[in-house]
Order: sequence, then structure tokens, then C-alpha cells
Amino acid sequence: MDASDPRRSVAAAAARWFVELDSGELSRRDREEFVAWLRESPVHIAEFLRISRLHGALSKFEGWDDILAEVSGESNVVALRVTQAERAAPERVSKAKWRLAAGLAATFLVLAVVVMTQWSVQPDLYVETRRGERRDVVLTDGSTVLMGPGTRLKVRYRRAQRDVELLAGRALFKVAKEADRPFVVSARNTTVRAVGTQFGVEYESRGDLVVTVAEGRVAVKARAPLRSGQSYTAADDEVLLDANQQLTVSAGMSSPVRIVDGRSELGWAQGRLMFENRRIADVVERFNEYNDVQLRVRDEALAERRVSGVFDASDPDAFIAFLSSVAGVQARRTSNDAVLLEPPAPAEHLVP
Amino acid sequence: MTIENIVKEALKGAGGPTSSLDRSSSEESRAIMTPVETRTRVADWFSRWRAPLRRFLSSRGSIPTADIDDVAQEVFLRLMRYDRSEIVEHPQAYLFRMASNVASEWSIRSRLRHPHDSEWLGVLESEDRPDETHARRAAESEIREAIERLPARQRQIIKLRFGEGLDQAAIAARLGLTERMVKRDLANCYATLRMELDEELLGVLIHGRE
Repeated sequence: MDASDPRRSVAAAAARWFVELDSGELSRRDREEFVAWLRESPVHIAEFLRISRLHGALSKFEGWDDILAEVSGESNVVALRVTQAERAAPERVSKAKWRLAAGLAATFLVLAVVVMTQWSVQPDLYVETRRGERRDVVLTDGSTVLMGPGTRLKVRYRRAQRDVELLAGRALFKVAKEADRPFVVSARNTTVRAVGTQFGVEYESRGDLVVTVAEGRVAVKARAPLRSGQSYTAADDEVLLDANQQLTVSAGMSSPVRIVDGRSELGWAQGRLMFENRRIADVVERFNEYNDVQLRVRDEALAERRVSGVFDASDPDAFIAFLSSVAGVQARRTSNDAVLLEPPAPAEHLVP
Repeated sequence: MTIENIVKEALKGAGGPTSSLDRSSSEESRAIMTPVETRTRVADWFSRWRAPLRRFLSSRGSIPTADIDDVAQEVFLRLMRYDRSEIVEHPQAYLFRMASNVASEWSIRSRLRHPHDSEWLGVLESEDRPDETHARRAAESEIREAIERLPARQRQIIKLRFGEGLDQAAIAARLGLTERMVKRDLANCYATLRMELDEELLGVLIHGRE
């Protein structure tokens, strides 16, 4: 680009004004100076408009994860982790990003027709799914929320922040990039803050909260509930999670960050349930969220047995078949909508 | 409707500030503020800055890249006509609003001159244009390369600003810098990227098409 000196120095001045305006309220004296500067020349106005557009483009830019920069202020250890995560995953992330971009583009097309000349404001929402029901909620900024069964959600978009409260269940959030307006999910006393990413927040049966990131980065603040008279200190820790990382919060304490396969962990959003060495009782409970026909296990020993596998949530028969091949489990329909799983009948040894 | 009235309407819609919020003298000391003052200050900042900026960047406020200098010339003339004290109340709102109005006035005029063009545009907007993704990819790639050429600290700061949505104070805290240093680096960053990046491509990212 032709960088003639006079333009460059005007661009620099325009940039300084923009940054000043972006940082907070200007005093009257500052505003007078700004107007005086604008009125000095059309070039000043043009450059200020250009810097504003540049800011807009940077807000829409989605490649921040691929930019290598030390962003934690601490040295080597964290930098290494971030760099490795970035180096390991860029190929998969970019492919997923194009798919996401295509999906979002389709969503935008639909929204654009509806919202054409309006300054679209997201109305407050309360959404609830029943057992076995999954729902996809599209918000006016292009973000989507894939809700699992038995999930309750409140959406409250404000000017400074896009607030979502997860009251129960699990949801996968695909957040549209808006650098000026963070997307914050609160679940009990934990908050998860994102700018433009894909991540899941899930209530587990024991009351734990699990946060898994598929793409991008989120900041998780886990807090124990306040007792009366207490207040939160500024020193509350914020844990940064990158793609394919997971955190569990129990009783306000967060676990160490686990490296996981984001796609498998969040497969439930596509109806795929993945279990790794989980009690049959827990697996059955998960299945029951997705199906009208409820599985039951009464035998304690059977309930405590552990299994691993990936299952289609809407296909409990396949799961039952798996259990019988692996553990000899028998299934008996006890009513219209309940199936009892029982341990194998003892082999009938005819004791002479 | 005169521009003046349009801006007044726009400011009303944005929850514009009342005169009681003008704190020209108390601004001198950035003293500890009560929570109510903080909320009012933030709300004020939003209606004076963020909301007008956002409108300007939406497709409703868009200016064709090629026209920026001409639009600026016209805005310059219009600014001269206004009472300075009125503009000083809401300079950014006036500026962005005027620029968008000029651009839309001109585009209406050109549509009237060439009515068949607007039909053609209508068809294009409803189709999925294949080269849009390509243009977008090109824009993202050019931006990424320009960012990677920035000095390390500027790159850190801009990544925190846009990748994580932190404001200047939070960036300063995270990196152990003063806010003044963050402001300076951020401004240098904007200035450098402005000179290096092609505006047409930026337009693709902002509006999805040019």
C-alpha cells in the first residue's frame, strides 16, 4: 500500500483518537479536541472512518487461535502449552471452522431475510427441553445453542455482554464472534466466558459441572457458593481452556485441565454418547434422558459394573445388545415404557 | 427529515445521555466512583461510542470502500454547518450517522438513475455466491499475515483485545503493563494495519460482500 508520509501520520492520529474513544468516556474537553481535529480536514475524517472499519474487520476476523502470541503474561510453561495445542490442532480446527462458517453462513442467510432493515435485538428467552428432546436455538447474533434433553436455559443479551444461564441439563454453544461483547454462560456459581468459540457446559448426575472446548478458547471462573457475609475477591482464579480441553467443577473447586477429544466428548449434541469406564448405572441414567422407554437396573452388582463405548442415544436396543454380549445381561420389558436389565441367569447346572 | 432530527432520533433510540450526565468538571479527577456512577458511566459510553460504532459497521451503515474519501469530504462540509457545541455533545454519533446517511443518499440516487441495477443486486443478494467464501478466506489470510508481522507485544495485545474480548484495562492487568502503554501499542497497531491491509478485502469481512 502506498504509504505516503502525510497519510501515515494522519492515520496514526486517527488511531490514537479511536483507541482513546474505545477506552472509555471522554471528557468534554477531549470531545472538543476531537471535533476540532475532525474539522481540520476531510482526510482526518476519512482516516478515522478507515480505522473504524479496520476495527470492525478485526472484530469479525476468526483466525486468532492460529496467531502465535504469548497471551498470559507468565513465561515459558504456559506458552509451551498454548503453542503445542495450537500446533497440534490447526488442521482439524480449520476444517471444522469452515464447516462452522458454512453453517453460520446458512443461518445468517435465514436471519437476514427476517431481520433486514431492523437493528436486531435479542429478546430475553427461556427455553426448556423435555426428556428425549434435543433443540437447536439460533440467536440473533448468529450464535447457536444445541440443547440436550432435560435442559433449561435463559438468554439475556445486554449491550456489554451476552448472558446465558444454564439452569439444568447440558448445552453446546457455538458462539458468533463479537469481540466487543463477550458471551458468558453462568451455571450455578461458575462462569464461562468466550468471544467466538465452540464449547459445551454440562451438569453431571452428581452435581458436577463439566466444561469442554471444541474450538477456540474460554475463560472459566469456578466459585463456591457464597455464605452470608462473604463476597468474592478480585483474586478469584480464571482458568483458560483451549480447544480439546476439559474442566470439571465440583463444589466450587475446579479439577486440573484434561486433554480430551472435543468431538467425542460433545458427541451427545449429535446424539452420540461416549462412555469411558463408567458404571452401568450412570450409563443407563444418560440413556434415559434421551428416550421415552426407560431402562432400569436393580441388581447392585450389575449397576456397579463398568463399561466403555460409543452409542447412539436414540438406540437403546443396541446398547442392550452390547450389554448382553459383554456382560450376559438380560432385558425384560416390565411395562409399556420400562425395561429391566438383569444379570445373567445362573447357568443351570444340573447337579446330579 | 433533516439530518439533525435523524441523529436526535437515533440517539433517543440508543438511550442517549441526559444533560445531567455531563460531568465536565468532575472529569478532572478520576476519583473512586460509586456503583451507580460506574453503571451510568458505562451506559453513557455505550450510547455515545459503542452503539454508534456498531451501527456504522452494520450493513445498514455501510459505505462502499471506494467512496470513503468522497463521503469524508461531504461529511466535512456538513460538520461545518453545524453548531459546534451540539456536535461536541455526541461527536461520534454525528460522524458515523452523517457518513452512513451520505453513503445511502448517494446509493439511492444511483439506484434511481439505474433502476435495473437494483433488481440485479436483489437477485444476487438472495443467491449463495460461491466466490464469497473465497474472498473471505483471502481476507482472513491477508489479515493473519499482517498481524504476524507485528512486533511481539502489539501482537499479544491485539490478540487479547479481539481474540478474547478483553478491554484495555484487563489487557494491561494481564500483561503487567500500564494502560498508557497498552493504548500506545494498540494505536500503533491500528495505524500499521491500516497502511498494510487492502480496504476492499476488509470490506468483505465486515459486510460479507462488497
